[in-house]
Amino acid sequence: MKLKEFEAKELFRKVEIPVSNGLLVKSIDDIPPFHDARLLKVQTLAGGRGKAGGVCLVRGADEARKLASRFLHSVFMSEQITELLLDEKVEINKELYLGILFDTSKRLPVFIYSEVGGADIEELKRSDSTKIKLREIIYHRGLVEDDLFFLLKNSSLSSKIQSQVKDAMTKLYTCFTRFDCKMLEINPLVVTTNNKVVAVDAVAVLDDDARFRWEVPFVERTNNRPVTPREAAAHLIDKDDYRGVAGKTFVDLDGDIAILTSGGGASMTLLDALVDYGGKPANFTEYSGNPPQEKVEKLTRIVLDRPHLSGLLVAGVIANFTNIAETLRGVLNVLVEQKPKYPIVVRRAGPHDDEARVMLMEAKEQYGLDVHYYDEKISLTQAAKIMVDLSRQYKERQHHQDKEASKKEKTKTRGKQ
Amino acid sequence: MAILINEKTRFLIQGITGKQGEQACQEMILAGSKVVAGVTPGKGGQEVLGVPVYNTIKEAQEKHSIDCSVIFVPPRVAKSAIVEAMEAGIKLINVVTENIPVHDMAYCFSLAKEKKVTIIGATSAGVFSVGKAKCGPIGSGKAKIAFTPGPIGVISRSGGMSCETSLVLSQAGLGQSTVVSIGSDVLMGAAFAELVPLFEKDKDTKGIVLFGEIGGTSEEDLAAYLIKRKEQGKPFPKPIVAFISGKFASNMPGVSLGHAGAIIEGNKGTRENKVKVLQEAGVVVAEIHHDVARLIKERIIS
Repeated sequence: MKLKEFEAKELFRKVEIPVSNGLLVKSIDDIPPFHDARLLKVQTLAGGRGKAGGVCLVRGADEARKLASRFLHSVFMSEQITELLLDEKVEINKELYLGILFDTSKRLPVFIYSEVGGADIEELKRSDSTKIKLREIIYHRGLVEDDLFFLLKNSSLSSKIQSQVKDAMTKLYTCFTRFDCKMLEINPLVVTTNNKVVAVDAVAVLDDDARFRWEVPFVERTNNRPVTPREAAAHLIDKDDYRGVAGKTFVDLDGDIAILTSGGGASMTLLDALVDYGGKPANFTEYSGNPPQEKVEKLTRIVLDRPHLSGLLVAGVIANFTNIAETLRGVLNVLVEQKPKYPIVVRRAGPHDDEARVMLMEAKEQYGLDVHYYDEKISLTQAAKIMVDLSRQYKERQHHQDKEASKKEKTKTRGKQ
Repeated sequence: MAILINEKTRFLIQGITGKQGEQACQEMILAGSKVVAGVTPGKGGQEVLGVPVYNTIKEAQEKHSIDCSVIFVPPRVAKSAIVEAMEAGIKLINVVTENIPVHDMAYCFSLAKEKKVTIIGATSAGVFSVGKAKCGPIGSGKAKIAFTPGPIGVISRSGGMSCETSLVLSQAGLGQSTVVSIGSDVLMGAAFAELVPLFEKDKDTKGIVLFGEIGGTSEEDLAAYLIKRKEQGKPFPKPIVAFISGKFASNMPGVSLGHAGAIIEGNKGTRENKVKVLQEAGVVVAEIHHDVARLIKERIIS
């Protein structure tokens, strides 16, 4: 989970990294009277806010309040802004860069240090990578004196400042391990005109898998756009019932084919194929493990709660242990109730799939549902093609029927005249 | 032949008394695996499906000579379980547990490098040397029907898709030598670049099929390895066909579709880049998943 600047700085303070003096502003009433020059910084999750005009110099409280009222609760860089940081304006002599992240190729943390900090560090990496130093840290040994020596070798800083930078490096690594960070960045780490080293900005990404031992219980966020009502409803399904997973991931999309998949890798492969064949998904969601039919039913209800659908695709790889009949019964309960006209393609195999087939075929007969059931004999991606073809045919039929209906309507009105 | 595990491999299951561990134990025995011991602290002296349970790996190691440990313990204690296995001298560890904190795995990988231990996972569905042995839940229950013995090595970042990939191969008449589910966490154990050399040495493997995903660098690492081989004048001799999922997800930056690793960070790890570097390295990339069967078939026959 990515943190905002003020949250990341909270972690820095805990390990005693010197940070600029800031005040969190959630409403204009939080701004105290002042007369000097300060920085008002919009708190976003995305980077690059400075260039987008999210860091402003303000002189005095009046100016700060005026600007704050414009930013607060507005949308900035597609994010709803709820916090600002009224920060001390640090007098800059030099900007440095410090970062730690995992190298997925080496499977180790890498310490990044540059004496050319600032907004264009990525550009610098392309143009002059010699100005950026990288040091892999042997994890089970931890950060050692050798690592710091390597990073600061040939430094242009005075020894007094170097020792402050060294101290910040050690503390940043402590922060990285103690708070289960996936990524940490100080950009810039400022050398002030008074020869003090201060973190002026901060980026932190925490590991969600370590949430159980986080020292600071930051509020959960999955996306930087506001969650839609369907997404919120889907996320609630797992809260009441721990059997299996249903709706943990739910993303609203703008297509017309409703999707219920099982398993992460399979879901992505399926959507890739669906889009390649010309189909448009209305959502992304999955259920996995062995959820009871009630949970699948709840999720199906949310997935189908959308106008103008042209198909429903229920698909997954061959299940090891998921009870196919039980989970599909959850889907069927909703279908029987709503009796949609659009095609329904099911590609599921696993325990009790024979029972599932009989159940779906009976429902087809009894309720006139356009259900197509396939087991492992048709591949996952072939099922996507079948769905797209059937959905296209359905839309053509609908289009034709609409035309006929409007023709009839016209004749009727003419007759009345 | 096969890679990593075969009918002679002696397995230990850590977390054997849990529901998942016991279920996998039964399925492993059914698939021909020699499960010689289990470990659950505090439950030493019990038996699970005839397999003796010990309190510590050290005790188990004294009675049995263990080649491979399979980890089923909860994520919070996974690090200590993996470290215990390494310290007991086990050289192959398959981590099935999901949601292990990345710092815990970083510690394990750094220690494993020093101790020359191979870790497969975490979040691995297991390893299946078809017709010989398997570890982990891969190919359990009805999913068995997807796997047939044969000449194709499979490596997959998705557990479910290791099964689906084997299924489309089997339906095309191509069985599998060994299927390895490597997981898709931010930090992964042995991945494509570390495993293809093993398939190269395996006489029964004629071709390799990969299932990759967006995020991470394991596809790029493989491409770099293959190019290095070419430059050394020893090009990789067996055909490799890959499918990289996430074309759709690439259009939704920042949205994770369930797999922790499948999050795009900058340009690295994009599908576009992975496809490009793999093709440059001589790997054939399928656009639709089920096409991997046809593409590998054409190449191993010619």
